Amino acid sequence: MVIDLLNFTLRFILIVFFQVVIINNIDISTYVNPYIYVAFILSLPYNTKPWLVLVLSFILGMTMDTFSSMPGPHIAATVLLGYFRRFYIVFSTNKDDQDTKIEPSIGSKGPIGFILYASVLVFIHHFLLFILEAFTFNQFFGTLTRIFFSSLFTIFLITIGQLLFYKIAKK
Amino acid sequence: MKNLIFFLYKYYVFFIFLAFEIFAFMVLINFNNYQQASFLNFTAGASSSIYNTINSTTGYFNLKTLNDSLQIENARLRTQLLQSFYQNGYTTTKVNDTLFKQQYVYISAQVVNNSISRKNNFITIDKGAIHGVKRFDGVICPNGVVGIVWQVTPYYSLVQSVLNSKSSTGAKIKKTGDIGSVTWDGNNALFAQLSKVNTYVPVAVGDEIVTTAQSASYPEEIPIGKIVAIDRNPEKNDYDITILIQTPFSRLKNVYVVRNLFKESQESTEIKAKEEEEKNGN
Repeated sequence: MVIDLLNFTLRFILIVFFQVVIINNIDISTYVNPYIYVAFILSLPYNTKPWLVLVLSFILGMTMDTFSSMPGPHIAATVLLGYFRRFYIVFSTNKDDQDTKIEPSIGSKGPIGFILYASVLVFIHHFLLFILEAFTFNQFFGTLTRIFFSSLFTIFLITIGQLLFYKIAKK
Repeated sequence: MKNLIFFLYKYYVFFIFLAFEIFAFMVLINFNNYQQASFLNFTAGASSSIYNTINSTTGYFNLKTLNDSLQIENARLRTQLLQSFYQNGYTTTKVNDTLFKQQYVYISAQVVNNSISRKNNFITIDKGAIHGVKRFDGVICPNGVVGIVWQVTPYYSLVQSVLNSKSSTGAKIKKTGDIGSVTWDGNNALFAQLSKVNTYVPVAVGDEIVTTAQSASYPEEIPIGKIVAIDRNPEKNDYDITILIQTPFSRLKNVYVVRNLFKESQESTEIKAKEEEEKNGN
């Protein structure tokens, strides 16, 4: 229990650090803003209590908002992601797995299963986030392009991260 | 009552979700200037110190280019020194100079956080109220305009970058002196838009766009960019002009906050004139 707490706290700090220090400083284009910090919520174990997922989403969103110049968008988007995660897991995983400490990963879901899982949830997150960040329906097509390419990059980066850490975990 | 409690218990996750979302939206919608200031005050302490640490580490990587640009600027400033002018007159009477009064003060600052890829970009600089920075002061860099001070905390300031869809910079065409306004549509960090230029003004690709002192935030003739494309706007009888921004926003490091000492008096004059106009109108 204590080890779990330490493990997830460390993971939380590392992923926020990685997002703020490295990813936020890469300016590829106005259309590409990957937010890989959602991987923290994506990889919580199946049997994490739903309310705990929401509370962690809230704290994570709040932390990310602290590093941007507007409070709110990250909280709203991450909490939405945390809420929809449960439905996707119920829909895509068998009943026995849902009550175990297994984490959704490439190892446990298979490459296609994991990428699909990440894609759906990352897209939901980015959709709300970018619309709230723009805070207008003007140039809606531009916002959609932004959502599409950013989601693509986030999913790509999260999958690469999974491949790296899954290999390490297997050794 | 029992049913109600059971109902609440059954759907408690949904209610937590709803509470969090309502909180987020309320924070976002009520986010006016006052809250922006207090939010920045709250976060500046935490995030700015982290950004500062990152910057002091990564700052070493581009020391060379920074030195070069500072050297070039030094050379330019040196040429403007009094010693570099040949004295043409003979009279050397000393007078207490009342002809020249300092109008602009420059406060040098370092960029601690910067983004160019959002729709509304802000820049955090490491000078604040105790260094004399005030709200709506202009911020420039050796190559051109950067933005306007948006929020001031004791040690840091938040600058609304020119690359912000809500920013609007008073500008003029250097060659002809006609004024317009530079805005950014939020799409490409290299190009900005110049609007409100009447169609009778002769504009050409390659014309330089500079700031005008009418805005009171910037000194006269700070470069903004060069015209790269001109379109006629058939509805409004003016041009849609695209300009290439000269400021290298992606590698911004040393900037200057411009404090216009006459700003308050300029603005109060304009307000007075406006009030009088309204009175006469009624």
